[in-house]
Amino acid sequence: MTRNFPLGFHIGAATVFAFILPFVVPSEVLATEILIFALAAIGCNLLLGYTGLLSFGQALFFGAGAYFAGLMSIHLPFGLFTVLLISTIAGAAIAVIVGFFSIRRAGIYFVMLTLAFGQLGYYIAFLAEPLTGGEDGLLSVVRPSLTIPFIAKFDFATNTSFYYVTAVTFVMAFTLLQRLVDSPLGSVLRAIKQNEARAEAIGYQVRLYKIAVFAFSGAVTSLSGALYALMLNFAPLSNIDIETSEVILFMCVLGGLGSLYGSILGAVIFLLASDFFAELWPRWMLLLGLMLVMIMLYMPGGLWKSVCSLFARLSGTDDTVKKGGANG
Amino acid sequence: MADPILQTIDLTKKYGDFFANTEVSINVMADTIHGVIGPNGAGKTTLFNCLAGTVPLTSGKIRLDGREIGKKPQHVRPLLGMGRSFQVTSLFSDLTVLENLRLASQALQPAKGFVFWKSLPEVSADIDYAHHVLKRIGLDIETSTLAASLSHGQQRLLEVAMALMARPKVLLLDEPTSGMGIDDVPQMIKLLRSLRKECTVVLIEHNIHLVTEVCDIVTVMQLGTVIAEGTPAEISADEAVKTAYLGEDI
Repeated sequence: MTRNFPLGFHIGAATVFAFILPFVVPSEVLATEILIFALAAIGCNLLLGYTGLLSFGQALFFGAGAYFAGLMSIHLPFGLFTVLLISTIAGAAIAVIVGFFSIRRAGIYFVMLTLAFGQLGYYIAFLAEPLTGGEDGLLSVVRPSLTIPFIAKFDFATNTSFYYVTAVTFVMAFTLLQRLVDSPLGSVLRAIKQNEARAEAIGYQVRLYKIAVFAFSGAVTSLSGALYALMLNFAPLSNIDIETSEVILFMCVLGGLGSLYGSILGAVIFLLASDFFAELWPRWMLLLGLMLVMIMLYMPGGLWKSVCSLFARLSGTDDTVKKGGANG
Repeated sequence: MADPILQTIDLTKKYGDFFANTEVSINVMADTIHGVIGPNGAGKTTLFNCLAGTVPLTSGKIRLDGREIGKKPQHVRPLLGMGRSFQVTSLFSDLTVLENLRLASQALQPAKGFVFWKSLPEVSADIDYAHHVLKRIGLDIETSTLAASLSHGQQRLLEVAMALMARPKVLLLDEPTSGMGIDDVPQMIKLLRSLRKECTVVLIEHNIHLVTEVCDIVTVMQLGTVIAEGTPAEISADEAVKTAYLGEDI
């Protein structure tokens, strides 16, 4: 059994990362974006990396979170915490519905169902113009303030202050989900990914576990979408389109499946590379595509795995125990 | 006579128009090793899948310790005392030996599997029991080994060990020696014999020699029905059984 790191280690790692990030990337907005998409990629990793469920509909949760947060901030007098909490819960609820129907089919049909749900969400957002702004997106989203009764009231108009909101949310969500993957639930998810038939045969009701992991994935993805809308002061229609699903999926696979740290790395590299290439050449998407192809070809386990094996080689500790070579 | 621990009553399974099992009635007595044999296509595996809940019954009943379980879904049956192994080794190959066993034990408390706020404990009753079962079946390996890197014979033993983790009343074994090297078979035979002390074993086998060696009672199936039942000695002398086997094999 792989030994789990204590929770404090993960909290520390995430905090240090979130603290350093704005000083090493070109702008605070980019740093905010990285943390937001890292959460979305983590949501995708829970499904794909831990449970073996390939979802092409992650943008549905991301976009829903963006619209929920945007609409609440415009129409309701809720504080920041309430807005984020409700967006998260709403995302989980939508994911339960999507999961409930999608997991009735396996393999390619499951993938197509998640895609179909994603597209359904897109057209609903597109057509519900009075509510969502349709093609123009939901404009004039305002960042709600955070009120601690009788003590203080904070608003987050500046990019710096909003970065810290995102960072705190990021550390909390990351810690919770890292705990989840180290928990008994996480162990069942891995078992399902490995061998679904056996998991069912030894007594796990696989369907319920899949719905549960959808709920967590939907929740964190929706939370990230909510933060994104608040960051942009705007919820564009593109948040809920298939390209956003692709981007999230790509960050997840790029970083490496089965490690939440991998998803963070995936978001960092994807967004930094986009930022870097975009300044070089107007056709920067080509360069980004080329880089991604190279990484997929030469680092098939994802960036995180390559980083880990590099560290292992440098420090001289090989990972035979992890690879299970202890039968000699 | 005592009540059977496992009983099928007119168990019938149809695939389309094809009757894979026709009114199969078998009584398995507690603390015995009950073999089910038959030539290819006799319906042994269908019977096994019906007992394990992998496929739904067309009609008939299954009673486990007096309780009707024929309509219970597959994932509930281990909790009721029905353990099973797979004919084709079906482990969590990228997980360690210990984790394979621990998961099988954890499954007995369904609510425990949904705990997401606690880290997996490094010591637990599940883990203790896993060590106990490993020792019990004589699988002397490092528990941190990945299941995939075990030899085939070791994987077959781990397969049985996983089924034992559920502390079954009745253990269904589907050709436990299938694909095993000739050297590994005696260890499995020894294990099967010793299992009688703790649970009832239903052994689905193709290999008639193994069955005569370890079973107390043998049921012979052909074309989806039971054609004979008795001790190995009685079965060996049965004319219908001889025809069923010899007519095909020679």
